[in-house]
Order: sequence, then C-alpha cells, then structure tokens
Amino acid sequence: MNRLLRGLHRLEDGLLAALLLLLLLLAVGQIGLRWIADTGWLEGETVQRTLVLWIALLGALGAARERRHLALDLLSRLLPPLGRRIVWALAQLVAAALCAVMAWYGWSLIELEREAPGVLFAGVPSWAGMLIIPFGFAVLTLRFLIAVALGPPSDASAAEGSAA
Amino acid sequence: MSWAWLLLLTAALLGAPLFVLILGAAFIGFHQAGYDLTVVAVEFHRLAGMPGLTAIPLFTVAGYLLAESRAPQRLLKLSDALLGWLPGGIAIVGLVACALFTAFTGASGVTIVAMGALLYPALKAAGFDERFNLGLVTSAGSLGLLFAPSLPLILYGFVAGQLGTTPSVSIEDLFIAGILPGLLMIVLLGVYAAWHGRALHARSEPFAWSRVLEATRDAAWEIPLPVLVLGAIYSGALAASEAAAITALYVLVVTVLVRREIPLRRLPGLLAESMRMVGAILIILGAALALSNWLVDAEVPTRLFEWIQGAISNPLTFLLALNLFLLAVGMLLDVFAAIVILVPLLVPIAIGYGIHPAHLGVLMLANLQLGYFTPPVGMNLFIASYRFKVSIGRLVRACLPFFLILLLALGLITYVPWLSLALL
Repeated sequence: MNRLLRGLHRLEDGLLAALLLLLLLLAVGQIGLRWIADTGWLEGETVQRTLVLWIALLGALGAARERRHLALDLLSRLLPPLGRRIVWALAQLVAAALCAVMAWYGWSLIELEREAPGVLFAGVPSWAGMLIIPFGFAVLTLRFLIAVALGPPSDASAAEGSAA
Repeated sequence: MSWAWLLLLTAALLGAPLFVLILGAAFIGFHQAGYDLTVVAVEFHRLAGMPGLTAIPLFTVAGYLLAESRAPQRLLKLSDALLGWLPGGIAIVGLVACALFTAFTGASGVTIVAMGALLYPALKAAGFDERFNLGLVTSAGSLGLLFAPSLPLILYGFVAGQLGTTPSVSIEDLFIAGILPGLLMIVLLGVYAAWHGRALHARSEPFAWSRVLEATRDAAWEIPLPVLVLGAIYSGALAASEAAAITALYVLVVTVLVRREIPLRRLPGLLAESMRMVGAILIILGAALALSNWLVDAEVPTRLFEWIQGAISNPLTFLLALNLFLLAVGMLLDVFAAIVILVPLLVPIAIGYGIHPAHLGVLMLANLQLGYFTPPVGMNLFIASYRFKVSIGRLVRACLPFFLILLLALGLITYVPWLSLALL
C-alpha cells in the first residue's frame, strides 16, 4: 500500500514537472516564432492557458498531500495537542465536503460544454481541457479525508509550509 | 441561510484551507441570489482564460531553482564587495541582497530561511549586537516585495487589471510603480543600519576593485538576470509573461547544465515542489474569481463604497483607515490570499476616492509586508523564531526599530502618491 502510494506521488510529481516544462517550451517557442518569423501559433496561447489550469489543480493536489494549503491557524496554535487534532479533523472534513460540491459542479460544467462543444486545439474538444476541474476536486476531496486521519502537520513544517 | 454563513465562519476559525472557504462563500452567495451553482465552476475555469497568467508558474520556478543553487552566496559576496566598505556595511549588504532575493523568489519566508542563514553569522562576525541582527534578518525577509518580478506584484496587477477600471492598471505598470517606494524602504533601513553600525566602521573592509572583480566573475551567470528581466520589462520589449519564460529557461540552463549545482535527478522533485506552491496560490485565485464575480453581481463594492463614504468623506482619512485595516489583514492573512480577496473590493472603492490603482497596489503591498512582522501574530516572526530558535517576545523587541522605520516609509508611500506614480 505504502509503495503504491509513493509510486503514485512520484507519478504525480513527474506529471507536474512535465507539464511545467511543456509550458516553458511553448512559451519560449512562441517568443522565438515572433522574433524570427514575426508570426505566432494562435492555438498555442490556448494550450498554454489550459496548462496553467492543469498545473494549478495538480499543484494544489500536491499541496494538499503535504498538508500545506494556506489557512488561518490562529485557534489551533493556541490549543493543546488533542484539541488541535480535533479542530484539524473538523476543518479537513469541511474542506472535503466543499471540494466534493465543487467536483460535482465541475462535472456539470463539462456536461454543459458538451452540449455545444468548441475546439480547444487541433481537434481536441474544449470540454477535455475542463476535465481537470471535476477530477482535481474529486481527488482533493479524498486527500482531505485522508488528512483527517493523518492529523495536523508538525510545528516545524507548518512554519516553513506557510512561508512558501 | 444565515446558518450557512455561520458554519463557514466556524470553519474559518477551525483553520479550513482558504480556497475552500472562498469557494464556500461563492456557493452560498450565488445560491442565495438564485443562480445555478455551475456558475462557480465556470468562473473557476476562467483561470484558463487569462492571458499572462503563465508569468506566475514560470517566475516561481526560476526563483525556486535560484534559491536551491548557490546563487544566494554569490549574491551576498557581490553585494559585500560593492557595499561592504560603507559604515554598517554588511548590514546594508544584507538589506540589498534580501530585497533582490525576495523580488525573485516572491515568498518572503524563503528569504529568511535562505538568506538569514548566511547573513546572521556574517553580521555577528562584523560585531553587530544580536538584537539588531535578529531585527534586520526578520524585517528584511519581506523587503523587495515591491520590485519586479515579485509574485505579489504580478498577482495584484493581474487581479486589478482584469477588473477593467479607469484608470486601468497592468502588471508592467505595477513593476514601474514599485521602484521608488521599494528604494525608499531600503534607503531608510540602510541609513539606520549605517547609523547603528557607525562605531563598527573600523571592522568593515575597505573597498577594493580586486574584490569586486572577483565577485563579479563568480556571479557572471547571475548578473545578466536582473538586467535581462528588468530591462526587458521596463523597456516594454517583453510582456511580463514572456520575460518570465525567458528567465525560467535561462535559470534552468544555468543551474542545471552550466553550473550543475542542481543534479538532474533532483530536478523533477524541485519543479514539482515549486508547482505545489503555485497550485496553492492559483487555486485561491480561481476560487476568488468566483467570489468576486458574486460580489460584483450583488453590488457589494458599490454598497461598501457608499457606506464608507457616508462615514469618511476625506480621501486622506480613508487612506489612514485603509492603512490600519491592511495592517490587521497582513497579520492574519497571507499576502497572496489578501490580494485575491481584497483587490476586487478595494480597487473600485479607492478609485471612488480618486486613488490611482497602481498607487493602491504599491501601498497595499507595502502595508501587507509590514503586517508580516507586526506583533503578535505576523508570520515572519514565527518563521524567524523557529529558524533562529529565539522567543517571539525577544524577536518583537528586536524588530521594533525596523518596524517603526518601515511604518514611516509606509506613511510616505501612502500619502505621497508621487512616489508610486512619478515614473509611470
């Protein structure tokens, strides 16, 4: 189980790094095209923007995995360990519930788009780019549920986590 | 439905993630207004519809890679060779190096951890007292927020720019508006450091061209970077997002292939790490897009403006109230979250009082920066306390003179709009 999870996390990190490099390549390529040939790849802009959305959600997934989403943690800083744990669990449950709601409406966004699909680029339908919204929030729901069991991050990593 | 708001408030106090709270508020608001809640997902998807947003992941990855390499050491060495001969030399060196570092890494907590570790022993060796050193390292941790290409500056330009106000404001405007106010902060702190270190003058090394030459040769690959970024952006040759792409590529090539300070096998992990930070910010931005759309739909900014104008007619009084409000916000809220939540509300109100949005952006960031180490709960206090293993109480006393100086700078930035608008 642990090895499976670690593999999954590595895959996630790899995907995130690959998307970032792709974004970098496209962005630099676009500038190169403009300078050398005074032209541009119009759909490339759309691809870049979609990549940003995917990076945002996959990155947010990673942040949830490491329990370092920004939050106001004034109350929990003042509590004894057991109280902290309870407060933490409740907060994560709320987060899981709201992410589930968002996943639901993310899916309804896709159904809406599929009724009148546009083209994202090179024949890829526009709703495909949106898939990350329901998928990302569904996995976020799972992550927050897991975080209930894991408990709050230690003080040290909390300080550095909110710093970054 | 007010129970739903109450529930959300409770969740906020419990420490639920910010993006979740913002999404929750958008859900409740749109539900009360009778909308199909798919609108929240539609608004969130606008993250994929914004030109220029690529600047955020690309500048972030460049900052992360630089922080992981030995660039901080080289930066410190170069500043030392150039400025170390001044009275209070190493302290001024530290201020300049921290500001540059924060501008490129954007997250001030990183500056304390990375630069503090180098600077703190150096200050001590030069004979500065511990209290001064702690105060300097903690307060310098948020210096440089006003210089390009700092992430908060980009984010403000982004959020304010898409409001479509008159006068309009862009990321590039913000980069220019931040120059003089940012310099003002460094100069004021530098004067204090020189005054504080005047007795130590004998211990600072004299200026020597040979040292400058050596440090320059060491940092040969890093020196073009600020020139490239700032030159390209300030001259208008490149948009912020394009400058970000070139910066990221340059840093990637230099740190991994040329200097080889970041081994290839560590690269994917580092890239992913930097994107986790980006994800944490952008998901808040996406949620805030939905929330601010509801706020505008419910005419909250207009009503807020009318309400505030009923109480405050004078722009100067408004600015004072704004200063105090933002100081409190800066203590409680991370600067990124504060920007995405507050900017859609504050910009229309400020324009109502005749305040230019670029000026508002600069004063807002300067204000939030101060909140970072405002006692008792400023975030940098906790980071520094953890990093240097001293009590919060001692840190607060150590930071007091620095706090007062930056407060003075904030006052000047707030009430002398010329500082922000002169170069625009």
